[in-house]
Amino acid sequence: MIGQIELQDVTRTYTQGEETIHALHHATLTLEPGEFTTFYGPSGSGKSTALNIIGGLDLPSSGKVLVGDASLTEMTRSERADFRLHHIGFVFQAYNLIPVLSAIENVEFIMQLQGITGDERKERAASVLKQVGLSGMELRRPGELSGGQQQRVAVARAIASNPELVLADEPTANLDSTTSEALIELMLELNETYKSTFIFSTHDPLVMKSAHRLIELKDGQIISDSNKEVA
Amino acid sequence: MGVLAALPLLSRLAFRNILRNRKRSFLTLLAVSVGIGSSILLAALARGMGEQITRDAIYGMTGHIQVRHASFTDDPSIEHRFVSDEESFESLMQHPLVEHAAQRIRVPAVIMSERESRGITLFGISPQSEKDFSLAGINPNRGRALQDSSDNGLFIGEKLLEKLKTKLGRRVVLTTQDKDNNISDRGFRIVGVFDAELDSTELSYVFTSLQSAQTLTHTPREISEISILTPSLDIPNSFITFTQKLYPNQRITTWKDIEPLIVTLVTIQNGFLLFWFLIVIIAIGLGLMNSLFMSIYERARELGLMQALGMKPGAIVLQTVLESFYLLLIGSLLGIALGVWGVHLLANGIDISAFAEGASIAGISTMIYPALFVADIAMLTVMLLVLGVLGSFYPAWHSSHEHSLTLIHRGMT
Ligand SMILES: Nc1ncnc2c1ncn2[C@@H]1O[C@H](COP(=O)(O)OP(=O)(O)OP(=O)(O)O)[C@@H](O)[C@H]1O
Ligand SMILES: [Mg+2]
Repeated sequence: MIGQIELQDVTRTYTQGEETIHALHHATLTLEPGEFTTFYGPSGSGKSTALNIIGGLDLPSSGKVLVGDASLTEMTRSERADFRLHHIGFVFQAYNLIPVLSAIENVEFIMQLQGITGDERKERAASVLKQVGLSGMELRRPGELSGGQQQRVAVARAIASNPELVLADEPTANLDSTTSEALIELMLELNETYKSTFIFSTHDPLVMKSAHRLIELKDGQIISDSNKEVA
Repeated sequence: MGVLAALPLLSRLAFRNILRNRKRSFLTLLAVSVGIGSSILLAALARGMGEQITRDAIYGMTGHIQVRHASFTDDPSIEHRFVSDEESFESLMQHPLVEHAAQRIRVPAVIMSERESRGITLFGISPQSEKDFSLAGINPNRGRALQDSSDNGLFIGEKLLEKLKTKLGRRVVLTTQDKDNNISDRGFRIVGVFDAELDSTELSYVFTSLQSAQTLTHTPREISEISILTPSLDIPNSFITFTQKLYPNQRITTWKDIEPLIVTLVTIQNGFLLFWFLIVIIAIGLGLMNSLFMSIYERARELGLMQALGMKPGAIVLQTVLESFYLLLIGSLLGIALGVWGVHLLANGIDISAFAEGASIAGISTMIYPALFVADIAMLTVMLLVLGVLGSFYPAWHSSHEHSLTLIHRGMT
């Protein structure tokens, strides 16, 4: 189990010319293992930034990030890469797939880096692709798939190795409601079965409806949290 | 998991990326293979020329090693002679490394016709010993070869005959110093004329029998040199020691001592070739680095994505390095094929007399036969692979050292 995720007074700023942008501003937050949490808020409110920092893709300008016993802010680049590989499944907001690999190879990618070999890897990748409704398209390259289909491949890749934490940045943004529902259903099921922690960012009411916990961001600050009242 | 365990995945990515931008890969392969191919051909021609010059010298009158008076190399006059010892010569002939051995008189002399005179080198030879060995044993172009060790005839080159404005069958006078530093001269009849590869040999070498040369120099039992042909250019030390024991008072000189110019030429040639190889490799390497930078820039997003998904920086580097390694490897193989094919096409030799008029007179044959050296090909390929791979680390390292998010973002905008 990955344990608790803690953001302690995390700030992430970007400087653009004279201006300083607070993508996250003194955010403090604890996420329990097995929770299904959704960040929501207007565009530019810091949702992607929060996910990237939790996933160790981005480092805060100040503050601490703890995942279980591990302090992401104190790891080396290579250690964080390893941490991501073995504990986290990612779905990004855009540009998710490696263009030179087929759908099934994209799904296998993480398992291959993890050292899962041959047949087991292939079978698992094929079965997850089936779960997201893409059987028959295993050998297509990303360029030969629609945006929604690409997004589903990315979801399949994120969940194929049953990671303890899944971070998904607007995973249903390009999907029709039926597919969205099916995907959410699938993730809820995984959350149920494997007790994996899920953190989404979204604008999609469908996703928000299914989440256990809703956290609202505005201008990099947490302005509401369904688990507690924010001052 | 270690970076090495990811090798199959990284190789697959590298190959797919090579296939992805076919035009660029094709151009890189073309540059590598033309560079390697032309270098191989150039090296083969240079080696061929070097070999030709060496062979011309060794099968001219030099042989692989010679037994000489200690001072003969510095001052090849009749003063520096030694007594021919039949017993030692017999033992020498028995040695398995001796393919041919010939005892000779070699003295500077002046040849004089009724119209012209020229300085030449006079050889007194035993025709049987020189057969299938040296220039002195070649078949005459006109007239006859020398018949035995007491033949009084003279065997000279066509060019010399022309210069002397005389004819086959006419008499000429040879003048030289005898053993007492007195001038000694005698009339000889020209009995045969030879046609050599080089004008310089036709002009300067004149042959008569050993006995008539000994008579001219008043040294009836003495010789200037024993020339020995062995199976290879590399002469084992044991053989030199063996020969030295047979002739304890003489100096054993190898072809390298006798023909220092050739050795220098080959050394300079090696230097030039190495230099040329380096230039070609650096040119290829810079082109390759440039194209790597371009393709890495284009692929920023996916490289960032791979890092985001947990691929280690080392693996990202390796992926890019592998891509150039495969391009170099395939390019080198094509280049080797190209080079070998070129050498094959020129196997019958190319005639450089059109561009190199003076070559023949300067002692260089006008026909060049390319000689392929596996060591050259190996050195060139290994140098290219090693330097090329080292050069690729720089762009590759760049690709892994930007933050993955920056790479993803750059790709998105
Ligand atoms: N690399 C960057 N350089 C400069 N500013 C950035 C960078 N990344 C994000 N920002 C800024 O940080 C703020 C938060 O961005 P973020 O991507 O987290 O928003 P978001 O909530 O995910 O928005 P959206 O719903 O549009 O995806 C924005 O104002 C954005 O412009
Ligand atoms: Mg976002």
